[in-house]
Amino acid sequence: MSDERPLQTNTGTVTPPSTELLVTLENAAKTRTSTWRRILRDPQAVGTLGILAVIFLLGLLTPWLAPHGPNDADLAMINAPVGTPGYLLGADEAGRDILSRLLHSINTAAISALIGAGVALVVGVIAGLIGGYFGTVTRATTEWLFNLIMTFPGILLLIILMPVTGGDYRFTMLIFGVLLSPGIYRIVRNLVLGVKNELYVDAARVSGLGNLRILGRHVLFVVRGPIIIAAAFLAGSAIAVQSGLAFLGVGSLQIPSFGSMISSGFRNLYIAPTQFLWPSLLLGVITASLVLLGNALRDILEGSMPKPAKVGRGQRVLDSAGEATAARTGLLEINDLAIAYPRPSGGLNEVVRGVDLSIARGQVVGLVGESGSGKSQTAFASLGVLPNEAVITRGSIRFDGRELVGLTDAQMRPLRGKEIAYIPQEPMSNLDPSYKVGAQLVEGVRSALGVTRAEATARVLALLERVGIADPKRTFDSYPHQISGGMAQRVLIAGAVASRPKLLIADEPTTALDVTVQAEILDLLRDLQSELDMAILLVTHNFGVVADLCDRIAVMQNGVIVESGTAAEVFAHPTHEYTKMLLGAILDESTVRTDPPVAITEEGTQR
Amino acid sequence: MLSYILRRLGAGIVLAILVTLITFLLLSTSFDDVAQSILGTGATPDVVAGLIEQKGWDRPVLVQYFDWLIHAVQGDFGVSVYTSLPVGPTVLQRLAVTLSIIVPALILTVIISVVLGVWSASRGGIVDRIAQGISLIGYIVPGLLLAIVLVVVFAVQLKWLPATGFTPFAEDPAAWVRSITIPVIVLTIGGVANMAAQVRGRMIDELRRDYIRTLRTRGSSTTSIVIKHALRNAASPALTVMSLEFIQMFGGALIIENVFALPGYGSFAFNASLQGDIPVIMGITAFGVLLVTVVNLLTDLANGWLNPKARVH
Amino acid sequence: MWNTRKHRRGVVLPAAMLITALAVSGCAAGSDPEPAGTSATVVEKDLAIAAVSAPNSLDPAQLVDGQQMFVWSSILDTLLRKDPATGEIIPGAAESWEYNEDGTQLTLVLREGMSFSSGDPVNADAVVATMLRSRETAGNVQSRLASVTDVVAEDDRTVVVSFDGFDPQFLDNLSSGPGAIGDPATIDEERTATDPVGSGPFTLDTEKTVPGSSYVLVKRDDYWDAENVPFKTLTVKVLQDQTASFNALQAGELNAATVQTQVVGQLDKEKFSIKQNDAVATSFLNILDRGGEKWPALGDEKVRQAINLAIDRDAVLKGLYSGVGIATTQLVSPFGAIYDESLNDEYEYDPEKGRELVEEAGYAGESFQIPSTFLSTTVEPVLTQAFADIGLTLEWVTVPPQQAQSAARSGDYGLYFQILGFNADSADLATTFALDGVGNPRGYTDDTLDRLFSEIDSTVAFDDRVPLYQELNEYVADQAFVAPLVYVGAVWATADGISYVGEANTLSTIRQFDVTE
Repeated sequence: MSDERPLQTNTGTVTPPSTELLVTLENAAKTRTSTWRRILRDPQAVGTLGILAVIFLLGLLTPWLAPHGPNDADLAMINAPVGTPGYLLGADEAGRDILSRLLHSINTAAISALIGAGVALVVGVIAGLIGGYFGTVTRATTEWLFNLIMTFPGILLLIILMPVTGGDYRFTMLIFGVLLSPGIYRIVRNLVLGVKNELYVDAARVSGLGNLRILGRHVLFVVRGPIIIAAAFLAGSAIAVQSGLAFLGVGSLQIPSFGSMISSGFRNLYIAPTQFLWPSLLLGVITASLVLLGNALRDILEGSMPKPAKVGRGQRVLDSAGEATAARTGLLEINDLAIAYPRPSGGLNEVVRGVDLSIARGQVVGLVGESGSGKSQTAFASLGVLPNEAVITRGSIRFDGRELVGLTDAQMRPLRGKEIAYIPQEPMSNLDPSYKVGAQLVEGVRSALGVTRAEATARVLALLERVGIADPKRTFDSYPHQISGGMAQRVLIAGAVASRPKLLIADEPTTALDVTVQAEILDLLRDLQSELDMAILLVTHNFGVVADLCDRIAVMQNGVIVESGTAAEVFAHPTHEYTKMLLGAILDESTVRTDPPVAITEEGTQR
Repeated sequence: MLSYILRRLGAGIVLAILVTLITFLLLSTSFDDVAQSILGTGATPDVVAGLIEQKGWDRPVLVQYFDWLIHAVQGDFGVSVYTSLPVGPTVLQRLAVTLSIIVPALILTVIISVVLGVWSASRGGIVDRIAQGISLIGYIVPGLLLAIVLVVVFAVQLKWLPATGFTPFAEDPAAWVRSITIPVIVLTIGGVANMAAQVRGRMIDELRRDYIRTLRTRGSSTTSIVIKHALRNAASPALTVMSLEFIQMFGGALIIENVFALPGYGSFAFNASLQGDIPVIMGITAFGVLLVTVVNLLTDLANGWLNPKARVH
Repeated sequence: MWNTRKHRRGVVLPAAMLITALAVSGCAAGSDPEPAGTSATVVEKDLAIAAVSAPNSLDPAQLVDGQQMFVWSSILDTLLRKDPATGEIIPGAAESWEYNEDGTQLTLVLREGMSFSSGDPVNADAVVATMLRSRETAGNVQSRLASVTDVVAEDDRTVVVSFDGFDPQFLDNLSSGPGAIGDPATIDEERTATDPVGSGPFTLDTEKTVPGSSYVLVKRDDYWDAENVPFKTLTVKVLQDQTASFNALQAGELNAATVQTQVVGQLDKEKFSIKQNDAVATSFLNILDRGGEKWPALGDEKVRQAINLAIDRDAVLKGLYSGVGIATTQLVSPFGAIYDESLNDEYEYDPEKGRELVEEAGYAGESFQIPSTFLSTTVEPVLTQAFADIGLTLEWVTVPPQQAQSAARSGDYGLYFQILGFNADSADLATTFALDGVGNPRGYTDDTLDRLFSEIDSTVAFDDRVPLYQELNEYVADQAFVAPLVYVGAVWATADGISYVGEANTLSTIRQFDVTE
């Protein structure tokens, strides 16, 4: 029952963190959340942990709580009904107290879980570390070994091995743990492979840390989360299997367990129906709690994945928003826009705090700022694709005179892709990896323009050529992972301009590209802009890009526009301190480093 | 592509050989007990020894194994030491019975899980809570309990469904459907509880990806985004879950076969293990490994079809 | 001439002795036995019953008794049968039989006009071929033909079996596995294991039969006793689980099955008739090491008697078996000739006395291991408690089912719990106490046992043997070689005008059932 997350591959490029991520981290930092705190805050995690703690505590207290021994039989009490004095839940077919057996069964389950999950984790983690970290030969061997283990028909093997195990459930659980380990092995191996390529591990290696220390410090740290999650599921699995085997009668009949209780309850089903009920429900509660706990832990530990929300609901807007305070006549008029995200502790945290921006028809406006300034958020808001947690608290966005704030998704859709287009920052992650490039573009064109497939194909091919792709047909038939970053960006641009939009919102379109490709893309954008007379909102942190393309510039810092004006003005005479600082940070040949060189320490220069 | 399939099947066969070898080594300790069982309680030790010699169980273990192997690759898996029924055809027959329960259950599980998972991931709110609640109930209520209730109501009282037994499809399709109804329901509930949560998780992950946002900016409809794009990408990891679920269902089927007296693979294996019917156990193990290999292979192929990056050339 | 009688429980009928005497001396006339109650009936029903185990193989050399017999005895006729009500041996395919003076030769005369399902005649050659083959083939039947030296067909209807010495159990065996008659023409073919050409009242419907799960049999109209088989089809469903068979019964998928006593009340009285049998098997603690070779304590009579005194039989009967059964200290069938009711008083529940005995013998605090199997589960707590009450410790060791038998014979255990179904008077005691008995793996014997068994083995006439058996019965009870708990009973529920008529004899054959209007 092990769960495997798809491998998070590292594309190898360095991308600045998005505002959302920063917000999350900021929130996390502000509340000083350690993992434990986050766990304790989540109701699902706390609830299930609580239930499990109570149950297993009862199990531990059995010597004091249980009125009878698990195998003490009193013939006179056979099938005694619920509520018989001394036999609170009744007695079973041999006259044994059900409540006592239930309590002892909890311990059996606990031990099964500990052994089964423990062995699986130990074997899986060690093997995963070895298989992931060391070379291909080692990995191939471990792969093969664990494939072998995985193909063993599990329960069957446990039954066949009964003579060997002697029916001792602890031994059986040990073997079962080994059978479960491939799942853990996979998870750990994948994580290790991912981490191995992380820059910081390389850095650690370069600075001289031995393999073992690297493994220990970095890799184990990353592996921690999934292991904890897997442990919950493994425990549930082990308990379930042990119960199943006991139900079938495999194993010592002396050991009280849920399975054997359910089995005898089943035999007596028509005689005393409730006997069947108690162990079934308790087993069910334990299993369900473990699964829910695993889910909750996963949600907490693997990034704060928010709850799902309705796709296509439209942006969340406070009632006070949507009113323009000043009438203006540009193509895109943003007026006192404020966007906020909810804090974990409650309340809203504004990331865009009253932005005014105006774009005229055919005008290219650069929105400049550092990471976290809120510039992308502003762009998304204009498209209506803010994440579900975001709230527009006030302000208005008018496009061609029409108020966008407060529109439903259905109302926004006719505008998107048709009149307002978007080019994302990271081309590769913005293409659906499962579909050919051409198909995706055709889909976009058809939904924007409503033309036939043949017509759309023709258009797309023409566009691909227009954006400078050498072999349009070949690219059309390729999958995203088969084309380069630069080509992908061209493809996205092609898709964006297909419908001759009035406004193109370009979100750091060249940041993820190599420098030489950047220049080409910028040329392309310039050409397209003049050809189609498009207005462009160019979001960027790079003044070089701005200088190249923009008519006007707006500088954004911490959620507000601190300076705006024509490109020439801002470059020549920046008025705000921040603008000056940004401009000053651009390196040119006349700047000399003034910070002292790094001193060479005693540790030497191990490579 | 063909060479890839052949390579995988080849690897599966190698694995089957290894697994059966290990199994045989483990079983070889019980020749004496099996001989006793065949001869009944009245047999004297020399008669037992005579039978062991007659069956060739006194030969070196490896020799016996290779003998079995040579026959097995030709399709002859021997006969049961108790019933003299040929192992190969019997195992396949039993397997067909179990598959006729598992496959419909799996299909239903997938359909319901996808519907629930997609629904709750793309709607959130109260729909999500309901779906999670359904999943939760599936965990808490043991399938066995539900099976009993269903049997009592539908079989004993209303007599719409049979309380026990299995009717082969070939004999009477309608009766077959009736005889598998309760077992399939029981398996499905357990499967959905597991899978719906996984699908939901995958979908949530997928819906937060960048390309989804980009698709929205191009004006794609919600349905298209959720089903055509997100689900398609979420399907790939979900497939792995599905193949694991399939193998897990064999375990669940074993218990159900016991309760409903279905002549399936699981109960066949179980009884053979208890009795020490060595040829049958070997046959079951071999087929089991091959089945798992085929399932894994199909999963990978489906994965490749769904996910271009995972394709092997 | 046969008159069946309602056999009163627990009373040895002199008349029964007379009848069996007549049987052994071979004066039985050729007329067929009449089934209890009804006259030849024209109503033919479909019988659907539940069995806990499926037949391993239908090959005559591999036949196993027990509930598997429902299937194989319907396909293969046996030479002799047992009367369900009285348990006496009655003619089957053989209409008469006679021993020679010293019991080394048995002559059987077959009926006329019997045929196999293939049409071939069931004659002496068939019997000879089957028996010789079973004797040579490794299988379940072989050991029960151990004393046979030769089998010859004197003529078409006469079979002569020669022994190396008188075998008192042989005659009873002819009503089960060893007595089955296979078709020599096809017996060595592959089909014999799964679908043999048979001499019995039914043939297997291979289309509808699912081996191991459900068997459908169709009556043969050319069977010699067809008019006394009131069922046109027989379905045997293999259901190991009591709840499942109860469900099937209530749902109408079965019309005859055993049910747990406590659920009898849930059956609709209008639909179902209930028949309670108070004794079908004995549950007892077999003391394997009677000689005290490895466990000296068990070799001491006092300890063994103490064990017998420690068991509260009435409580076990009431608690574990809901009163269906009889508390007992003997192994023989209460419907048989050996049973002595007075012996049941020998070990009245008295753990105190038991404790004293153990201390006297000097074995207080001894500990014993005993295999734990699924048969023993419900009784384990009781026995553990009983041993504790007399100052001994009993430790249960789980043994996987496939090793249960060998565990008993391995010599690793001094005690073993069994539930043994009744076979026949001539077998029940021999099985557990004879030198080569299965229930006596260490081969324990003493002077008394030697003497008794050698006399038994040289007395051909059953009624002459009865006093010997009775003496043996009393001896083993006094010596407390085993510790019986209760006779286990069974409750049959039947519907659709079918009734269960087995009482003294409960061999699982179709003749346990009859049709009432």
